[in-house]
Amino acid sequence: MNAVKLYCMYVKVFFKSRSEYKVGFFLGILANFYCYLLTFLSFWIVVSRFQSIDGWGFEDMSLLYGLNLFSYAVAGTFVWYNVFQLEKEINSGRLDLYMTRPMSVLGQLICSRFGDTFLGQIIVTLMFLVNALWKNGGQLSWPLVVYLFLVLAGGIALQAGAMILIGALSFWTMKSEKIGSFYYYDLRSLTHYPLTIYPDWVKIMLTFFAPWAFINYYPALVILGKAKTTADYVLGLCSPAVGAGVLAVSIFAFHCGMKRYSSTGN
Amino acid sequence: MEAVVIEMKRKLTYRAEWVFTILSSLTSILVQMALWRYLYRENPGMLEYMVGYVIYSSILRILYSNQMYHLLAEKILNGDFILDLLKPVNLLWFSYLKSLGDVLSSLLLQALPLLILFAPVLGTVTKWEYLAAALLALLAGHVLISMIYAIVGLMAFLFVEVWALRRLTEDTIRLFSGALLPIALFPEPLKKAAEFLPFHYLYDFPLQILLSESTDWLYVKQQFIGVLVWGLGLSLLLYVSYRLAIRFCVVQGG
Repeated sequence: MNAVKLYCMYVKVFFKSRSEYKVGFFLGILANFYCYLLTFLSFWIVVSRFQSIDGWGFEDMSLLYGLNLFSYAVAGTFVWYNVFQLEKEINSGRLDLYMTRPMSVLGQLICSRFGDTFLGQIIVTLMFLVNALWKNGGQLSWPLVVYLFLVLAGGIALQAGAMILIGALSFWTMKSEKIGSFYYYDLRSLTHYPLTIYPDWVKIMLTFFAPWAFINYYPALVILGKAKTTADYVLGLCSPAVGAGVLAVSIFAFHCGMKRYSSTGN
Repeated sequence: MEAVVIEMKRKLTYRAEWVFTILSSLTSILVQMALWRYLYRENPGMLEYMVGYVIYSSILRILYSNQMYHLLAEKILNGDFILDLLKPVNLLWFSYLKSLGDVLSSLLLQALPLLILFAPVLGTVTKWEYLAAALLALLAGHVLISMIYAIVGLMAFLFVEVWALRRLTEDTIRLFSGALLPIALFPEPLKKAAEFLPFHYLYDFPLQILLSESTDWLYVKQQFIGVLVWGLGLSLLLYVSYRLAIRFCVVQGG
């Protein structure tokens, strides 16, 4: 509870400092809101033109993309600015400062910057997610609602874990941004669409090599009743556990990286 | 030329970064190709068009990646704007040349490998007889986007942080230029909005020239006139913004 209280204090101080630049603060949230609103609009344009993408209508696509984006936005609020971009902290020497303080380095990195700009993404995603769930309301039983919350929690854990892992790469490579960008952003972009439009090896890659399909695709199959095989159903049910596992591995990797860290000499 | 060499050296310092940047563009292209391959699986003609569209669109993104807003905004925020006004080089022109160096080096290091990789595909879908007109359209697009980003950069006097403004501009351009989806696929109201805005001159117009089966030269001429009108309008806006910026600096006593 102390950690939560401490984090809340940091967030309060952060908002006080951001309120000095009110226009910049609100513009940042608006920019992210607008960006992803246009992304949903582009899905709507494609689905309007072609009726569906492999049987996935606009609400189905909203759910698929919304699960991905919501978990990314919430995870990013905590860890994107300083943990995902750890190479900047290492190369500037600021990480050395964190190591002198009586708090875990990862905790300090999370507390040092609140991802206020992700609020825009959260708002726009909730709009479309709620709309999609409302339109599919007839299919949602109470167990599915509980499953949905577990999936969101698992997705947030998976995305946070991925960001921590990419950041931790900097301990070994010094520059991990482009590698992380490819492995995390570019491969994850494959899950914006139903994986059935790709060759089978893409689905295998996104299940075992880069487990981004567990963020949204397999859960969406379960929620929308589109799981055609037992494997799809089981993988969907395992999604929250996969998220927790990735987070645990990433925190372990971060601590391993910290052990071998030697300053860049700044 | 020096700027190009400096940028190339900077980009090649971390070779893994350069490789992963190309891989990133490649993945983006392949994702889009997979989507259109599925959507046009029963229409080989349209599929061929869309494959060419996606590849050229990714390459054009490199041409239009302009750092002018960042160069100007940074100078305004740290005060170097004033010092640069004392130099015997126009600040806007100097910023443009620096960003041009970045663009040219990106074209050589990122766009060229993609062109070589997809040459067999592009060789069949490109209408080579219209290449000169397409290149002229691309040049005009490059000038337009440079002016747009210069205006965004000068907004640092008003907004301090311009990244959000740049993001809003970029996202609007991304949709309404045809970079993501051809404007022909848009519903009527959005199509009219896209045709009213100047952004379709960046992607949709040059790609139509390069990939369409038959090009209507009257339409092309009308579009070039449109580019000219928007170019004059934006250059006037840029001039006014620049003069206001200098007057603002002088009034503040800097």
